[in-house]
Amino acid sequence: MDYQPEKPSTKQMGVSLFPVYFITLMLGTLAILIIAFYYILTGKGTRIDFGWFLEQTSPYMWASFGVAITISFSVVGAAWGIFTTGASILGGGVKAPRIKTKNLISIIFCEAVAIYGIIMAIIIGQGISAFDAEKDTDQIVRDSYDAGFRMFAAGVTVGVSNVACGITVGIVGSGAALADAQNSTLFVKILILEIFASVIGLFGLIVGILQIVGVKMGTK
Amino acid sequence: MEGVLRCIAILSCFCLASSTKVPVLLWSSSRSFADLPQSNGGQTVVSSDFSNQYLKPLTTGNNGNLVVFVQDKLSLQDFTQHADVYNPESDGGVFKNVKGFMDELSSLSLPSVHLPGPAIDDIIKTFEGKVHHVKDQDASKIDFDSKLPNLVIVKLTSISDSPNEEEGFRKNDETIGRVVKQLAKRGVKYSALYTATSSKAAESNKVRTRRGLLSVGADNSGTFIEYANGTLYNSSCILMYVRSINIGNSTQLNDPKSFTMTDHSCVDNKTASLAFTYKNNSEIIMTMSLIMNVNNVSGYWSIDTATVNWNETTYNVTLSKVSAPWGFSYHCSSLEKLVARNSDFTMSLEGFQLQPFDVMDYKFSDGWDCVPFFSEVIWMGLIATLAFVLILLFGFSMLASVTTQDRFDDPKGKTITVNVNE
Repeated sequence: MDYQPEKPSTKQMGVSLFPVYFITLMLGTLAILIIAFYYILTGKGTRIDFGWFLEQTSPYMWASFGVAITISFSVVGAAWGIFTTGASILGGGVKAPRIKTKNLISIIFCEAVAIYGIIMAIIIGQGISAFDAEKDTDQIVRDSYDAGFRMFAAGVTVGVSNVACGITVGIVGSGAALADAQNSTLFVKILILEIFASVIGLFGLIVGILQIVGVKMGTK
Repeated sequence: MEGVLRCIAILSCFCLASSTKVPVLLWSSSRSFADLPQSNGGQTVVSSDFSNQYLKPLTTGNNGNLVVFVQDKLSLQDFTQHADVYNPESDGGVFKNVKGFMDELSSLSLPSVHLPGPAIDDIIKTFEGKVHHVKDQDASKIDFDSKLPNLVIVKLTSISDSPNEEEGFRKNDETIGRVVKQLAKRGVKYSALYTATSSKAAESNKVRTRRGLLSVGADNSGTFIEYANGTLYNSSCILMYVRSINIGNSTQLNDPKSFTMTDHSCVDNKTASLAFTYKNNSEIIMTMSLIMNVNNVSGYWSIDTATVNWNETTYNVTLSKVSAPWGFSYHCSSLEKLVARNSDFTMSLEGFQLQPFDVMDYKFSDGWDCVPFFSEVIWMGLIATLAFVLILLFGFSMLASVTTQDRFDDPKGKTITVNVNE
């Protein structure tokens, strides 16, 4: 009696979701079209100005977002990985208790992803410091804006790559635990897969550090 | 390709509402119009085509007499409005005679010809035969040359000058009927052409009520008047409105009667300047002079130099942020912290609007505001809110995807009963 629903199930929501998505999308598109055409047809197209937006918004917003994205996305990735692997280890450990200790390595690989995230967040956060847009020299103000963007970019790099890494390590570790429960000779080979999965998180960390090296916000 | 061009022509007719596209009606008692090209729907006949393909064949040859009836305004809307077109048995409304001629005689109608007036003027100049200009709309006294073609120009009364458009059209229609009858009585073989110089009436010369307040002089002067809780400098090429000029922290200059213009020039479309003084009890306490110019590359005009004379010192205030594209006026509700370099002079302009170029009809054009619709602070808040909302939606979708295990459900099997002992 396998009930396999194929569409977003009305069992969950009580109403088919397609019209909701469609109407929201159409309303959003219509709003954007009306605004864009108003500006273009009244000759004020240059007021839609992305350069103005990037110049005027505070570098502190970008830097803070960078820090937030680093740590939060890394933790999301690590958490996803750990719960995937952990559930499998616990489940498999019921019948094959010997897998418990060996498979903790998968959990450690996932945790490493979170550690990359927090290290990066602390490094980025240390770079944030005060600058005065009116009184400081032009060079310092320019460097501060540059620092803000670079911190945001480093945060996004590390965060998103850690999400991917964490999920990957989690799913591979889960499979490793179950395979190990069946046949203990499989585990060592599977560990190589996990190393590959973990290395991509390290790539993100390295590039993030390269982006953040040399930023100078403010006068300190 | 031609279809695309036709669509563009139709759309441009709607969008641009050009007043140069005029309908032309041709009829003739002696000549068939089969050799002239029919006009396709939506197509505008350009002037050169009109001259070569329509006017030339009508003015050359044996039956080359052409009678041209010209008035100042004719458009398809006039026919729709006044010619009783929604009645299947209509007789043409005010265009009775014209409809009669077009129906009974061989005729051709061109709904849209671009600038027929100049084409007709050209024909008048280059016509080989005799040109008669009918006076008092009476064609009985014209002597027709029987060997050469004749061109008769009848200038109908102006529609914009008539008290009522309908009466104007009716009068002209009667004139056309009368002239054609006179020609028919004399046995002249002719083709007739009915058109106008423009499809829209000329700008009315009614006085605008707002101008009743003004006493604007010649083109190179303007006046300061009180308008809407502030001071408006009104001239034909520079407009400026300011609610109050605040100098330092304390002084507010906002009395419209104390402003006097001392120098105003808008020579060409590249430079403009305005200088004025502010008097307090007949004593000049501030003079300000602004020089505006247009940047050739970007098309933005801006205030190049602004000099303020206050307390016997002259300051060069940096007003470079007062800048807008050509055709826009600059508006700022509160233009603050205007400083002069190397001094501690500060100034602010409240409720300020300025347009030094491209002033049409003594009105400000669209205002280019100093503050955008969403300021940068609002955008930052919106982005942070968006981030939170996205995280919330992600969490919600994860929550919603938590389902109960239904792999082992068997709706047809025995239900499990659990005995709960109290």
